[in-house]
Amino acid sequence: MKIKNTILTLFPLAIFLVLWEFYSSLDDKNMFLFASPSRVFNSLVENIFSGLLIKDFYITAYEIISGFVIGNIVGCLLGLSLWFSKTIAEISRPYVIALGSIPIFAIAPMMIIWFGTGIFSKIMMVILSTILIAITQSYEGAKNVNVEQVNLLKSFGASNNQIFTKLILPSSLLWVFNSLRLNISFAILGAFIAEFISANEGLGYRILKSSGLYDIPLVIASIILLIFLAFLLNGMIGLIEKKLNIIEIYR
Amino acid sequence: MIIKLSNITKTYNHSEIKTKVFSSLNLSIEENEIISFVGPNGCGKSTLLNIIANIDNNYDGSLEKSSEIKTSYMFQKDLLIPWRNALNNALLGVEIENNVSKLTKEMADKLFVKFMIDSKVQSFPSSLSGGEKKKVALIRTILPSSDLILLDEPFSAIDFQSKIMLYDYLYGYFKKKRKTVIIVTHDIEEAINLSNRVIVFNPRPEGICKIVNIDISDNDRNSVKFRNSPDFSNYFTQVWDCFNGINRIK
Repeated sequence: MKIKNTILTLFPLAIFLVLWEFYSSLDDKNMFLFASPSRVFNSLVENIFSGLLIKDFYITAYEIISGFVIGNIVGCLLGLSLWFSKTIAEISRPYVIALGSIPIFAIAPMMIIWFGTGIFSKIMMVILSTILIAITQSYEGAKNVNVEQVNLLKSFGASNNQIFTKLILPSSLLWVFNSLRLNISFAILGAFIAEFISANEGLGYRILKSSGLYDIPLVIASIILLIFLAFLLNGMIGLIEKKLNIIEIYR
Repeated sequence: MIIKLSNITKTYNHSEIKTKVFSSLNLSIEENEIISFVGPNGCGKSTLLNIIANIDNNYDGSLEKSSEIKTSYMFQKDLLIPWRNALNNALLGVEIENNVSKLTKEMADKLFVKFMIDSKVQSFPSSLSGGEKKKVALIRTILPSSDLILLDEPFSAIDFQSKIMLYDYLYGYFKKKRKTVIIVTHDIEEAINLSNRVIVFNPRPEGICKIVNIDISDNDRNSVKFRNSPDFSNYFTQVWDCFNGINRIK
């Protein structure tokens, strides 16, 4: 059944690749504009073995994973801790909405000015891209805890800290994991934009540079590595979810 | 006296419509006493329990409680925590009072055996039946060192055989541990079986109809024998008369 599902999942991709290869082979213009799966594959293998894409992948993965981890941990801690004070939660709500509505592209140049052109500004961009979603999602999780269960703990004389550790924190995990999954694409976007604006290495930089040189196979090869990075993060989150038995327990 | 309710009036305000649940309700509850609230749906039994538990503070009148009184509350819903297994759910109250010890764990194991769910100790709530969940919630409520135990329809999903056995065990347990217990139930027989006093409620907003004292020695508390005695049917009639509108205290 699993093999059948995998074949079915890969089927549309296979059709797409065949059609793409066929279309590009029709004339040179098509090949120049759209490259072809075989050329993309060659470029990918060639640049991985030359070490160019390995280095770019490592830099971008480093920026994304560190920013993703810091942004989510800090965001979730802030969001969950808002449960302790309804007043602070209410006061901070419009600020979170305002900050969340700013396009990340608009902030990127300032981040470069404030934190320099090095890796730190890229990590900060990833943190900024993920932290607000982590705050709002984890606070929603904390807010949506069953009130009757909170009353049950109160009836036993539980302190706020006990209610938080025994009920709020574990029951918000489902929301926290949803925010992690949502944040994968935002983290990649944050790092990509930062590299796009100012960098001399990384997949975002590689895409910008190779598209300037009309090296479409390398552009697509770099995009494939970004997608691979997204799958990698998704897989890691899935593994932690499985380890914590989240889906089974919240069923 | 452990609790004294004086002139308690409770009104619900829903979109400018005021619904009076009961008014000027007076009741004293003594230490180590087991009492039951019986009455029709919506007469305010659970509301009164919430007031006593300090969950509902929106009422008129006064509630006096002995200082430092510890309370355990079993709500109508089992409210088991899904990521804790049955044993860890049962130990929740004890954990909150920072009293988890080898002794409390042994006591929990003993209660799981007495409640006939010892094979479910490691099971998560999603795999327990409604009755099994209620039993775990009941263990969670009686395990802590609380002085006052509030039980809102504790036996509602439990099978008849288990109920009869649990009545006898729990009555002995509460008396031995010197607990004060308030039980909300719809079942008159259950109330008579388990209580020293049955507080009978009239439909909303009339409040208490009458108080029936169950004067039977602890030694004669065997549920099956007691149910066959003339005393039992006499108590039953006294409660039932109130439901029929006879002997109402106005």
